[in-house]
Amino acid sequence: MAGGSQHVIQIMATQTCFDLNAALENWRNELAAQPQLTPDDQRELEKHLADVMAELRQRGLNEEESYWLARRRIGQPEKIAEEFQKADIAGVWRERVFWVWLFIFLWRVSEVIINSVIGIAVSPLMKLHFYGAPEAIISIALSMLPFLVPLVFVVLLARGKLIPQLSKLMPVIEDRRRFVTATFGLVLLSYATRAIYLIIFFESIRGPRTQGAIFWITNFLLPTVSAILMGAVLIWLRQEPSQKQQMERPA
Amino acid sequence: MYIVAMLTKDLVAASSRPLVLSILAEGESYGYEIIQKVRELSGGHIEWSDGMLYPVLHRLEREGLIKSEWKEAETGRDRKYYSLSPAGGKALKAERHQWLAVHNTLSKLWQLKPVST
Repeated sequence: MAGGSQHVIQIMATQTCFDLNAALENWRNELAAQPQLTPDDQRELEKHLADVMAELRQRGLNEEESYWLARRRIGQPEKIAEEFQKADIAGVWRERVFWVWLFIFLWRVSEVIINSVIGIAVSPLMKLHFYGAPEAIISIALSMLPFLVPLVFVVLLARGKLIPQLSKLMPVIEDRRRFVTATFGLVLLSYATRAIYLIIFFESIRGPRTQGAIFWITNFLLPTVSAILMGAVLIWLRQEPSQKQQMERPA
Repeated sequence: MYIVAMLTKDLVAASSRPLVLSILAEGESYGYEIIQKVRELSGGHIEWSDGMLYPVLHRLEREGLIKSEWKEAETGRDRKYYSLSPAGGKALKAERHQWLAVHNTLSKLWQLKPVST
């Protein structure tokens, strides 16, 4: 008997403590934790929850009962997210390709920048004909940097080391205008550096007249155009997040 | 006497497409209403998990068979309404043909009266 009355007290305490707004906020957070669900999906599911709750309230259930039953009818957020993912296989692959392509793009531009900076640094030595074996060894070692930097990056990322730093970059990826600016800004920076390198380095060792149109087409124009195309593909691959609409609480 | 059982998971999944297209052929609707209609028409034999309908709707939308739009309902609550596109109308015809072909075949096998396609 004592156990039974304690149970009743517990139920009453639960009923009086139930806060619908807090419960909805928790549910929203659970939905928001599923990367497969866009804000638009979340909003739609929330409207659905409100409709189911309204139906259950009409049937005589109280606020708490209708909330929990509506949640149960909609399903677990993880399961819903899985279904959304299954329904959009193309989108899943597109996102994967985007990240791979972003990595290739960043590798390419960083390679151009690092090589150009090394070239610019080494060119005065070459001009002075002060480029012996030690300088050549240093130059070769430095030329490994474009390979080593992404390699270290991938290893660190795989070990979960760079996640907080990368999370700070997410706003740039999510905002289309900032992403386009950053992409073409990187292309501009890398090929401006390359142009300076080509002018300084080659003119210093061969003289200004040795660089004809073909040289500039093959060493500058075509790589620049290819980088612009890579950037354009990257922007195209970036999925447009659904319009971020403010989620409203069900009436 | 027939023993009426719930549809299997595979059959529910396969039938979701023609069901949604058929409901939207009658006029625009939203997720909750579609589920209610299916429940009502099937006499409760087709039980969709509410959250599972939306991936189906979104896939149909990506395929260009349906369109969606956020609109304010008469109740003042805004909802995402779905409607059939012209391509969806054609897809529904094809679905209808296929499902009726299956139905007629089974009807003959089970000696029931066929439905004209």
